[in-house]
Amino acid sequence: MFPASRSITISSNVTLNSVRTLARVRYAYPRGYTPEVDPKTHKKKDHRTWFRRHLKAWLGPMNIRGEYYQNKYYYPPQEHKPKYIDQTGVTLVTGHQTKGGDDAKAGGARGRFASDFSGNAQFQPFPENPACRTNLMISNELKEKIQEELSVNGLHPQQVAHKYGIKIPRVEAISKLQEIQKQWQEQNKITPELENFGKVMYKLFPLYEPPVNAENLTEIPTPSKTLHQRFLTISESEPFGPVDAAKLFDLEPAQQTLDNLTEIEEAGGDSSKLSKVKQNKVLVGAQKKDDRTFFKFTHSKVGEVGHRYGAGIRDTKKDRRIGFNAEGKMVNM
Amino acid sequence: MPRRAEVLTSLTRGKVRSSMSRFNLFNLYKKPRTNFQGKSLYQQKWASKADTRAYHGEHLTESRWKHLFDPHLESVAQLDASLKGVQVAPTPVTLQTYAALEKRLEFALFRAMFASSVRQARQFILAGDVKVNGVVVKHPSFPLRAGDVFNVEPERVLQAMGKNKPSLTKAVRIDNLQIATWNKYVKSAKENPEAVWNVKKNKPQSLNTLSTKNDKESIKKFNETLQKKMISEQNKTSRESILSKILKSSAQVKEGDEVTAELLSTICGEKNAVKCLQVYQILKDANHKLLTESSGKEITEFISKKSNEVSADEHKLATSVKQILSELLKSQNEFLRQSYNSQMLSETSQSVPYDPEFASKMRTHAKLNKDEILEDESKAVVELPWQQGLFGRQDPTKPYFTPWAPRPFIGCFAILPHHLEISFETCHAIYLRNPVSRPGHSEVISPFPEAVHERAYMYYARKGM
Repeated sequence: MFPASRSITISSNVTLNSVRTLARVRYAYPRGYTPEVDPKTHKKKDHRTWFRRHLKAWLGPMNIRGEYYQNKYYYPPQEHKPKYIDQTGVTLVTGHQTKGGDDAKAGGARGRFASDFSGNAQFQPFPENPACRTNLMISNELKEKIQEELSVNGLHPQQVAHKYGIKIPRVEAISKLQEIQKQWQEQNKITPELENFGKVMYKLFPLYEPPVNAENLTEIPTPSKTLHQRFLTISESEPFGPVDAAKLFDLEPAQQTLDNLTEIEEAGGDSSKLSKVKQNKVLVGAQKKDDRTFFKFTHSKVGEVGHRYGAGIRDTKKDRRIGFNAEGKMVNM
Repeated sequence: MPRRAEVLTSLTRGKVRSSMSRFNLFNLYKKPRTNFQGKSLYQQKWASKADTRAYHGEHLTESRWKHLFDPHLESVAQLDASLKGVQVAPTPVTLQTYAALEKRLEFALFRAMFASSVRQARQFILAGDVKVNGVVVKHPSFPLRAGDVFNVEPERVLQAMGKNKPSLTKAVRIDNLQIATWNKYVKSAKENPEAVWNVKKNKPQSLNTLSTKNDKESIKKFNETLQKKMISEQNKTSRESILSKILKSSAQVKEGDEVTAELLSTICGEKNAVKCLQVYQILKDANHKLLTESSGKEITEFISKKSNEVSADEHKLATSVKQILSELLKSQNEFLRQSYNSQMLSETSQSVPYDPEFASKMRTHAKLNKDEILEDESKAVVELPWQQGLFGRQDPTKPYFTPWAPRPFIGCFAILPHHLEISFETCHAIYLRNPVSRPGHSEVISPFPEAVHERAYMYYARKGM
């Protein structure tokens, strides 16, 4: 253990006055478990700090190839079962004693924040934050199936989203990435190393199983009007339901929003959006022989391009507006 | 300009950073919960802000972050909540305090696991190795919008997510150690194969999830070789081969002893052993020359000779023998299949049976000449059963460990984000939307609980900042 003089323990009945000294730098000693520390190799000549020695014990012994072969976090989990930290203070798996029994033990005692693990603890990367979870990986078969539904069967992304319980943007993204992947395969751009990388990463994450893990497709951005409290005086006998609440907030009823969400957008909604992109008229001057110049005139509206003489420039201000042009260059707006 | 990186992963300070370093993992592991006890509200806010900012955009100066901070936090409502009829978990809205950072290209790169830390992601971007929608973007602060496709040079990703490439000196040192250990093992295995086999069998299973050498694999391999052996034997089976087997095993019987059906049961199984014995009896009764001279040529002659080539008696004898042999041949394939199947190991079996020949195939390895290899790396020849080429330098032109292996402790940091869709094979990812919070869940990845984020939000959302 670390020397008692360094650790500050604050009991529940201390007054505020007594912790005025909190500002001073305090060392980040672990508090949730009993730390194991590598013993000093020499009483005076071993100059490693307490933390270094704790790290040594925590990592465990190293084999010839420089692997911490006994540390249970060293190698990547490969069966679609993530292995996140559990803060039990036990990181080493040694010999037969823990063969098979290790996981059971870890599951039994999850350290000091056992109460924090709600639901699927194995999907929670950080023991302190139960609201943070890893996403589920869509299996390769399902990705191919989605791609097939979209391209061969001609389904709308919304129909596919509803069928497999995946949100529309994700369905579209999967399709897009599948296309890119196919293109790369055709061009032989996926090297064996990359393939191996992809395989290892794929097996790191839990897999998505459609009916069980279906995403909630009825999500809408929280209407800002509902973020404030409203008070209304009504008589006790007067009925008051969600529709009345919607009226009070000046919003459409939830059922209406839900119906709108499930309606499929008009076919080719995206392509019509694309066609709305304004094309600038361009005038190209004919280039004659021995001409050193090439003229190209683009129709533009004054104020939309360039800097108008006399207009204020904000590029010296701290809160200047920054944007990016089509070439990925940063420009002042 | 980013803030200067000064001992980011100090074990004493123990701040958690957005990085996959093992020191950072250790700091995360031992991190005491942010303590609010006995602190004034401002002290609580300060401590929370200090902890969270160390992780969220530590490389940004405080003034830069304050400009980015947006007090309006995004969350979603679930319309079917009331239909489900269950208590809906509260929405951790304040976990969105740092959501404004997640749309920056550098963060998206780190979250997509194309870089091992946000600072490394910045390096990749500034080097021009990152494209957004096919255009090179050299600004780490580039704000991504829904639907943007970004990709990183695969070489860089492999470097970031792979093990460190060892220096040449280190590789040679490790290989010499490995070779010495291997040679010692080979020597002892040759001297005392059974003891070494048992030691190997009783060795605890490696934690290495990537090694192909495990019990299941070896059992599978063992079964495969048996299968191959069976098929080749089945293909070879003919009347001649059965007859030669019968003659061989009967020839082994000592003078004076009787040839029994039991003895011949190993050839065709217990059921057909009587038939085998019959063949032997017929030949013995006729005192045939095959019993004394049973070479392959004679057997073929005996079976293939036609009626006009031999005497009538001989022909009669051959016909009766051939008839029995044909009957045996029909059931032989099935017998072989059954006998091999009984030898095969089931999937639940623990280990492969002892093979006394296992040590004979092993070869010792010559030691590496360090000086020669330091002069010219291509002169290094390493052919160990588990490794070809120098350790981690099979392809020395690559900036990462070859053949590629994932970086240590990657499992603890492998968090698949909800706001990105990633294709690892092509190193492409798509930014789906800005991360949001929903009941019981926040899409912003953060090691800190809601209580800490709440106070950090209060620190930044104050008026007149």
